[in-house]
Amino acid sequence: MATPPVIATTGLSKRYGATAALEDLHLCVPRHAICGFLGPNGAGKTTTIKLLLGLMRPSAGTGTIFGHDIVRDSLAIRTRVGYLPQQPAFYPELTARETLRFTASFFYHGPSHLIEARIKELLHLVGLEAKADRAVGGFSGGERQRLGIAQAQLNAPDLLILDEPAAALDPLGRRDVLTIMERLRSQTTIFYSTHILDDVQQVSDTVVIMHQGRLVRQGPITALLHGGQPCFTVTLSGDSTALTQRLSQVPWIAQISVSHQNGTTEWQIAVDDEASAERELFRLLAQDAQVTVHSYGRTTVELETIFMQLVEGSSHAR
Amino acid sequence: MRAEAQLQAITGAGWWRGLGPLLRREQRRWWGGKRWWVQALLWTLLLNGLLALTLFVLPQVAASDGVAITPAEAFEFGAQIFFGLGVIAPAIGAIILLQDAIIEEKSTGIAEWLLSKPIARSAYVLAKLLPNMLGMAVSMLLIPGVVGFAIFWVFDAEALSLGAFLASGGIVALHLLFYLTLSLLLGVILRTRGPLLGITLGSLLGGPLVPVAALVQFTPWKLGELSVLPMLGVALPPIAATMLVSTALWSLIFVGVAIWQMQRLEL
Repeated sequence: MATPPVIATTGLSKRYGATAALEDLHLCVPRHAICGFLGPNGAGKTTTIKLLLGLMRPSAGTGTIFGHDIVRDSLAIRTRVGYLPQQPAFYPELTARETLRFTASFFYHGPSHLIEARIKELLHLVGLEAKADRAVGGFSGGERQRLGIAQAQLNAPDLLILDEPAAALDPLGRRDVLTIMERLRSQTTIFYSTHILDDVQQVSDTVVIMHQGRLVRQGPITALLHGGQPCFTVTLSGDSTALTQRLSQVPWIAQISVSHQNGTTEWQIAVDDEASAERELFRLLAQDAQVTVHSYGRTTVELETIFMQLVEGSSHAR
Repeated sequence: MRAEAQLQAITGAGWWRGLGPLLRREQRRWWGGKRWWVQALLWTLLLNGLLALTLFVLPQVAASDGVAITPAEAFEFGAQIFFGLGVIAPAIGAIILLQDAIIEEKSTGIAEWLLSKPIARSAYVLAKLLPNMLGMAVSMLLIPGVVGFAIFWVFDAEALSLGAFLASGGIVALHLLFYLTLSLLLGVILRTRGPLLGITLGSLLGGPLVPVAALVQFTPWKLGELSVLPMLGVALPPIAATMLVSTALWSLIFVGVAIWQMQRLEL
């Protein structure tokens, strides 16, 4: 039996008068996914997150988290969710340890020594041990972000919702956040919004792409990256006339695009039959004595390229 | 075994969920620092200083100018100063103290952070109301009231009645409650302090000047004038009951609407 999704929405919408911040969102985030929630500014990412957490009310549509309705059962949902806001704000006069203690008081009765142990564990996890007893008001943006990550995990949530978790962090901090997310993969589902596409490609197994309040694409990242027509990149030099003619007769080669650079020629060969291409293409190239093959490989598509194509395509479709 | 596995989780999803920790935090803000004694000192010095001047210094100054003020007249002036000012000044204090309680947390993102935790929104509102109510009652009413009673007692123990003093104090407390709950409600509804201060101070300072009796009887605007009457042994006019009940009802309505609005608030 398939595991029910952790997050599921049907036609979820949020409007402010005539302006739609979010339109007809059908979202499905599977259990134990690390789901990158992507989109340019104003795409509706934060609105979606706030709707899921009950911080806003939908204008239309429904949503569930762990099968609980996001409007009616918000309190029950929030006991099982950890949330890092885009700009974490805490009481400035409290120390990091006191902030975590205060957060813990909404989830746990005690015993106090175990709460303290949990706080210590989290301070260590986010690298704030040395600053645990300093007032949060004096923290840098990165330190506040780390504290935000710690407080979001305090209740060992089944779902961690992070709104731009690495935005205020330096490269080392970013790396640490990604490591923490990787480490939590087996314990929790992570739904996080970000602009940093490299991070998504590095840790996410699922992506959701939004643009102008609408869902553009969602699914496993592997399907997204390899979802287009399979393509191979070949760099060669020499007289390629005969080779071009011969390849044009091959039934599974769909298209060859040629570009010249610095005395070599780069071919982008799009194929219809990936298995045949993997088996035969290199042999066809190598057996032509008129050309020298300098490089050969499967064309890799960066998430950024796909993202730009999808977002621009979605803009043109309107 | 990891620490969180053995922790005792809080269960339940009622209107009170999260109230305990929020109350403790707000109580600490009042009693854990200087807030309570600064407020107590401020209002005690202001109200009782003026009272002492009126009772003990004013008759002597007047006498040196050839004007005789009898002890009964001084007692009456003192009561008017103490309760008249006692109505206005703590209400201003309440408005100033409460203007930021919710608006600041909304604007800084602290409210968003808190309400992403398992906290009932009604608990959030009550946690702002109850500790402030207690803190203000003690530091703005009880402590200056006890000192005020002692000053009256020293001046003229025979003219002083504890029941009358408490009745006048009760009217002051009701008036304070009205402005406290109004500020709370406006804090939930509004996004900036300006309109909150405008509405509350406008009502407090401009309301008593409204000449429409039919309207005034359903407001706290004339409670300042009423508050001194029990202390002076004068019976409250029949309209006082309407004013007192209306003010109490308004306070309850403000709290109810604040909780209702909080449930609908988008952060």
